[in-house]
Amino acid sequence: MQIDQLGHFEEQVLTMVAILGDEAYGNAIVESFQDQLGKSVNLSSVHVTLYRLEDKGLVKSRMGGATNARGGRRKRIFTISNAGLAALQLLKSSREQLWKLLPQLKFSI
Amino acid sequence: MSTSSEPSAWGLRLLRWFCPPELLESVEGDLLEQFDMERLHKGRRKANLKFLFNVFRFFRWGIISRNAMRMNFLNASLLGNHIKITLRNYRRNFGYSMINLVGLAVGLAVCFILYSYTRQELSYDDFHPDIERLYRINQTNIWSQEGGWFGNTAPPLAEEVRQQIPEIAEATRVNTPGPYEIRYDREGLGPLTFIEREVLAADSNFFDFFPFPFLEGNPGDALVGKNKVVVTASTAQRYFGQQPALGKILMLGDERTPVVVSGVIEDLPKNMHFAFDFLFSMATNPAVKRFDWSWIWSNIVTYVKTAPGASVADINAKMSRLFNPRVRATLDRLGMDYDDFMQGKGEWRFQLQSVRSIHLHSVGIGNRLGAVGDIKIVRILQLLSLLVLLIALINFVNLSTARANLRSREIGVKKTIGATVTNLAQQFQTESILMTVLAALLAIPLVLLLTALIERSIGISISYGYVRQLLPLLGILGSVVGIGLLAGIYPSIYLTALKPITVMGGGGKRSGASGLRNVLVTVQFAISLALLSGSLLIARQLNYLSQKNLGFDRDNILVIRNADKLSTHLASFRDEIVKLKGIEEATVAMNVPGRIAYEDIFSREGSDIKISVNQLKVDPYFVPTMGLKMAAGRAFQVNNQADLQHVVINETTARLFGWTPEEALHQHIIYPGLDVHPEVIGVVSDFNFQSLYENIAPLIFFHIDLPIWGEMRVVAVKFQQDQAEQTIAQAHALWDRFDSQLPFQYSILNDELAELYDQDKQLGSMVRLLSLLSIFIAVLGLVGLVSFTIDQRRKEIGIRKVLGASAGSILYLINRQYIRLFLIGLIVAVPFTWSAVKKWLADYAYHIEISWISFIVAGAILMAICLSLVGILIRNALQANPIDSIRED
Repeated sequence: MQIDQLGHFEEQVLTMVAILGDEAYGNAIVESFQDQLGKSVNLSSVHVTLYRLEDKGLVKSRMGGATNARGGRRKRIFTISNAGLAALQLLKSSREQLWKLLPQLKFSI
Repeated sequence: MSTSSEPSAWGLRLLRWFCPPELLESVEGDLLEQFDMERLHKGRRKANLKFLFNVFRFFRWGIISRNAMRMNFLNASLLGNHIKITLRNYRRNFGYSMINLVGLAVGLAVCFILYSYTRQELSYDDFHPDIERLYRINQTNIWSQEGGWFGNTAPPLAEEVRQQIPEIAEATRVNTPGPYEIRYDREGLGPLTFIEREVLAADSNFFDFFPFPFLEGNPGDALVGKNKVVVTASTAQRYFGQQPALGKILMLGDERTPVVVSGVIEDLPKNMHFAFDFLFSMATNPAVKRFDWSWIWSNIVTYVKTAPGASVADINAKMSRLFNPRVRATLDRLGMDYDDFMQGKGEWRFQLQSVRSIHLHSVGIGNRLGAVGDIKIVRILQLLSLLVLLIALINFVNLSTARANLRSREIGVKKTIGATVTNLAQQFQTESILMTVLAALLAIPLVLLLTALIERSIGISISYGYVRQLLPLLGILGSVVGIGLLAGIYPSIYLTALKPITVMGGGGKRSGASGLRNVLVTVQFAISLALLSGSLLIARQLNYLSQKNLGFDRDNILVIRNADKLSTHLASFRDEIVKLKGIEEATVAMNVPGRIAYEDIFSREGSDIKISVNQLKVDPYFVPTMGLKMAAGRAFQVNNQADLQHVVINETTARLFGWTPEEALHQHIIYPGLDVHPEVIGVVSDFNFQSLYENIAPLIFFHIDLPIWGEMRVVAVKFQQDQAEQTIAQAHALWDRFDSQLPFQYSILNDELAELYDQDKQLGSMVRLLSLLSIFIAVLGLVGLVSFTIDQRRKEIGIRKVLGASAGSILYLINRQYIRLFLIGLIVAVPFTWSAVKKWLADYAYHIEISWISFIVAGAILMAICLSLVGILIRNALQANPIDSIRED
């Protein structure tokens, strides 16, 4: 997996999927973007990104059980795959590595 | 959370339409969940809007492209296979494929050419800004006995509409000051003189209506004040070469009025209803100022720009109501009575005509500033081009279905190994589309060839510049594919319906399609016959126009224009020219037949009959030169000064005044422009001094030396048979001896008369070309069908020959059904052509009667072509040794 191929938004969505565990589906991810990052994203962008991540093998999906809510429509639950976890870790470590190389600047506040 | 309420149903339907099914449920669920939340917080309406918005947001590539597997119903590997089989089929049936290809190519070429022509005609004036608010004011045609509308108006109209009608935002006037001799004195090089015909004059706000880009000067003040002129770039080049034109002085007319060039604009687009090389400021033409009180001096074209949202009907009603007192006042001032003057013409009214419609919708109304087209002709050509294409498509359908037997094994095998109907249909559609695309490629050189032909021999030029734009180009490519699809529909339905069990069993012949095939062949025959007989009838009418006895001798007459420029030397020029070798007679007149249209209102002593009469000033030689006959009395006499007080009228004038030709003699005519009442000394037999669209109108001759209106002079010279070249050369030499500065301008009267019918001649040539092409395509198709039939019946022909059948009887056997179809086609074609040609002929006051002969001739020509071609095909089959064909199996 080339981490270069993972866009910023993709990375964020992937992280959300990991955070939400068994509860990761379209709307839940939109909401946690709002809750965690204060960022409002469109449902369709999330869906498209999830499908793309699935194409890349970073997440897996299955249909959840039927409920009375949502007009009886089932949720598509996404879970992070091993490859997905590995990609997140790789991203994190490479970022930290680069961070260390940064000259230690003093920020005056 | 409640689940009972659902958002907008069509939003869901839309989503279902574009969203891949495997994703649909969860997407729908998520959207519904959001909808429910929104509904609780913000209410149903807002939630619904948000829902729709979100549905639209899902219409994005990342979602739609996941349909790919479903949308890609045309499997790529199969497509390759289709193309391969298609090409093999073409190669195996080379002859038939060529027939299809050539036929389609001709059909497509014709369609494309005529589409481009139509597009060009329809594009007239569509580029002016605010074109939808630009109108020309038309008024009741006060100069015609029957009224109707015409596009000319009088000087005061523009100012009046500007002041009295608030719905009109702006008005401008254009006038035709007429041909001018324009002279430029070049420093050190001597003068440069041209006779200029493309000359207009306009109000200073003209460029607010038609903002042509200025190369020099500026539109704001270019036409303000007297003696200013705006010229086009190529005109400036003609006079001044590379030097700047702005501020240069040109000399106008005989008076050498100095006019300053106040602007240079780019050359004008061709697709406009007017054209000019010179545009003078309105004040430069003093006549316009002189007649600013007159509502009957209709030498002006008035354009208006309406206020946004104004109603045309309201403006029309207002104009007619408000200006009626004005026109009455003008008539009063001239001592005329409104009711008398308007007798038979209806009320004097005004109406707006949109500028865009001037080019194609001004038949009868006319256009003072240039030639106009005719929407009828555009529509006819559109229809004909579609018919030609139809003939080509029929070939394709007929040959494909006729040859179905040959493909039936292939179809059977494919079906048995599991090809679906869709697969097979795709195969046939691929074949027809590929065929059309190839035909379109072949059509390109054909288009170039035919365009050159049309431009050279018919005089219609067609531009294809528009195909460089993306949208039209896509349209054309789309149409080609569309035509391919269309052509393939029936064959693919027919062929895919074949049952493997029948076709594989060596199957009996299927004749299901032959009924339709016969119908289609009949249609082809009918179209070809309609076009051919139509073009024969048009040719007969055109021939009639050029042969008809007009009541004067139209042959061998040379017309020298601008003769008034010789002024006092004119009479001696005539006397000199008569002395030349090969010249029979010569006359000085204001004009010649074909171009006379100076109408005015005349009455007579002893009655209050008022009629509008065409007037012409002629010298004593006019009657002998033109070969006119006198019905009574005499013509003007040479050196008879008394004749200045005399007039000659034509029979129609006499009749309308209530006289026989003899009674008319010595009666007196009343003309408002003359104090004396001239005496009629002769009545000339009626002759067609106008085109044959018109009946013979009243006409009056005044003596050439009478000092009233009409400065224009021509010299008409009657020369001996076959002396045209020599006469022109001699006359030119003589002209130069009189004035070498003036350009010698001449025409042959007969050519000029022929030009009156140019538009119909063009139509005739177009129809003839189309009929030839349609016959070509139809005959190609027939050859294909017949040679196929012969192929199929080779064995039968062999057996018949062995049994002693004659060649004639076999020929009859094969041709029998086609002759029947041919006759049915003829019967279908006759009423169609008959009524179409009859409508066309109705424009002429003088026309041929439609007779059966044209249809019989057309039928005979086409039948002869078909039979002889079929005969050639059959000869081969007949000459073959029967043994060979019979023992084939």
